Amino acid sequence: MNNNFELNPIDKIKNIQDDAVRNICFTAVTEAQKNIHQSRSIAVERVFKETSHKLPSIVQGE
Amino acid sequence: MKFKKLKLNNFRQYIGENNVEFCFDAQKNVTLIFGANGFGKTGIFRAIMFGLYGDRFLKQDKLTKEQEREGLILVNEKLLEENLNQKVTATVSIEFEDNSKNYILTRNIIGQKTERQTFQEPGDVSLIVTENSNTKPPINDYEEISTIISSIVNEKIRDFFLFDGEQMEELTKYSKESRNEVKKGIKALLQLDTIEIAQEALKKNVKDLNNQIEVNSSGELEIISEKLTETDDKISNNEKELEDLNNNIQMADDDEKEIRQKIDENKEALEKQKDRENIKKQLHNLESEINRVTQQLKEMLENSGSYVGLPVITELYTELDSLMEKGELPSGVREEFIEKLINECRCICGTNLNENQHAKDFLLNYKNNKNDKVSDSSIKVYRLTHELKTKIEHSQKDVESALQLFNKHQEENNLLNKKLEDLDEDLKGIKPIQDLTTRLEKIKNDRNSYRHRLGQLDIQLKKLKEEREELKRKQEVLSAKNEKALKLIKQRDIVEKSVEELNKIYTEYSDELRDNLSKCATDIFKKIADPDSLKSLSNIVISEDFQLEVLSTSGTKMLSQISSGQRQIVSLAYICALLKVASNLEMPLLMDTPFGRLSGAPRDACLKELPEILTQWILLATDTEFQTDEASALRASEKWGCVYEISHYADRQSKIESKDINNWQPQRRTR
Repeated sequence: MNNNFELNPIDKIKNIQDDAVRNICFTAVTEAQKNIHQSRSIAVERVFKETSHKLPSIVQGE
Repeated sequence: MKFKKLKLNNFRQYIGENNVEFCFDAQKNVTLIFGANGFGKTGIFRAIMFGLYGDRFLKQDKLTKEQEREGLILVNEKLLEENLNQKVTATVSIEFEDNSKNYILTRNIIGQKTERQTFQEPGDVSLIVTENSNTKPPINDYEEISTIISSIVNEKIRDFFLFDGEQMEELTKYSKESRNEVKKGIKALLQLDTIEIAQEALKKNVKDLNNQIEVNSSGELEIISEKLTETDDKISNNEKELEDLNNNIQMADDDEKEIRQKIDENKEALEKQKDRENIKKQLHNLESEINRVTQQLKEMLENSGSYVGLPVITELYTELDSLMEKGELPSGVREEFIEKLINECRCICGTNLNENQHAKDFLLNYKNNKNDKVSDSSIKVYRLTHELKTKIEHSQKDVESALQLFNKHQEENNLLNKKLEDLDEDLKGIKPIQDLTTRLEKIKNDRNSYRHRLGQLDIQLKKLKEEREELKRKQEVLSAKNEKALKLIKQRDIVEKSVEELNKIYTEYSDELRDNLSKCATDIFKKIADPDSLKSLSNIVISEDFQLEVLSTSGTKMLSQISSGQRQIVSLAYICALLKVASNLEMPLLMDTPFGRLSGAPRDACLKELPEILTQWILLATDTEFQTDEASALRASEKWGCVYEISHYADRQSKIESKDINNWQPQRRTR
């Protein structure tokens, strides 16, 4: 496939300056991508759990 | 996704095993399956849709109610007839690859024909997935297979890539009901939904952190934290309402557009509708008038008994009138005159009555025997008959006039009713325009009230956000000595900033995608549209809710005005653009009857350009749409790798035969 447009939300997240904010966004969107084939509520719940889990270390490591 | 193989067994027209191996590499990506109408070309499309999704009928099928409920008979009907009261199994097996994984999906359907009915029930299904040469155990669970297939080709947008070419223009005509589903599908294709899920989850994190802060606080900090949670809830509710209102406004705009279009399309019907209303009014007035005249006639006819006597009265009057004419009525000389003659003793002839006793006696005798009363009565009768005759005649004239008026009104009434019937016939099936204009008014009113509420909410939201900032500031000050709360507040603030960042990214990403989609669709459109269309149409644009519009060279919106052929080209350009822009998407384009409704120039352009644009192109073409010119154009693309011909060899029996691409030429079937 001749794909002229390599757009991906992750590319946009990479440009976020604040490390902690970037890490949170990255965690949330990659987890959403992993769970995209689940139902919406399950996907949201899994992303919520993953970000809740990683949040303390992300903030501490800031 | 790339289709690799399709295996059919006893499915539709195909008895025994029939195979198709699709071209799917970068060098050769076009497969043509060629067959005359009725030979089983669409049967292959059905097999793919049944194999992937278990579909028992296609979108374009015109079904009876029973077929809607039970689906079409997919098991070969000849075999069912030959094996009366026995079960016959049809199988479809599709092999495809997606994201470096190989899939073999096999689905069975079991049919049984009795003397009265044909039954079908789903048979086994299995999915074998191979990844890095590692084949996993088969999956046999319907739900699990359905989830996996949906994750590869989202059901909401599968019609974009696997479709009947003759219905192509319908792909971009979203109904109000399907619009949101299609929008969701496109968002999924473009990965916008991953950002939405991330946003939703992070908002949940904020709420959870606020609750934790509350739990870990006491005194004034607890009160402030509680207020903050309340304010956040209010903000969240307001935002939800705002979103709903904006959706409602969008829907009202769409509805208005749709209704205006319908009204425009039905201008003639609108005129007829007006005529109809006028006629109904006239009929109403006429009915009152007819009632009035009928009442009048009734009253007149109550005295109609006298009409029976009119001939007698007329005869009597004529006779009396004739006597009057002749001077016989009143009869003879008046009594006063004779008395005067007697008193003056002189007759009218000059005779002195004193000298002519005989004459005097005659006069006296005449005077005494004369009966003037009879004469008076006759005069009276004469006058009365005249009066009566005139009265009856007038009354009759009045009745006649009223009857004439009644008949005139009745004729008019019949004429109007006939006109009304004709108009009703013409307007049959057309949604009452009056209803449309009423709906339009309602939409406008609703939209005004949404906008009003939107204004109120904006003000409230601004105020609530200010309150929240103030509460957060207070919370921070009060938590100076509460380490745990301080930590949680910090985490919450970071998550809030993340939500804000994702909001920005969503808008930016979505705008870029739409922009790219618009540019890409326009480029493709310019490559495949015929020169005449390009003179009038210049750009394809994608709206905020991912709907399609075509602009004229002067920037006017044209989608509702372009021809069905042009709409097909626009739809095809949009689908190809979606395939190009969605970076994670690798989908084949399967078109049944691809060129049926395309004229020569765009057909040639598609055959030249699409093999380059698409990952895999599968064409199910008839002998009338794919002839030597089309074969030459497709050969020139150098991407055409295989051709199959469907031949019909017995009643309800077809077979698929692979042909040598280098020597094959399409033959038009003749009688």
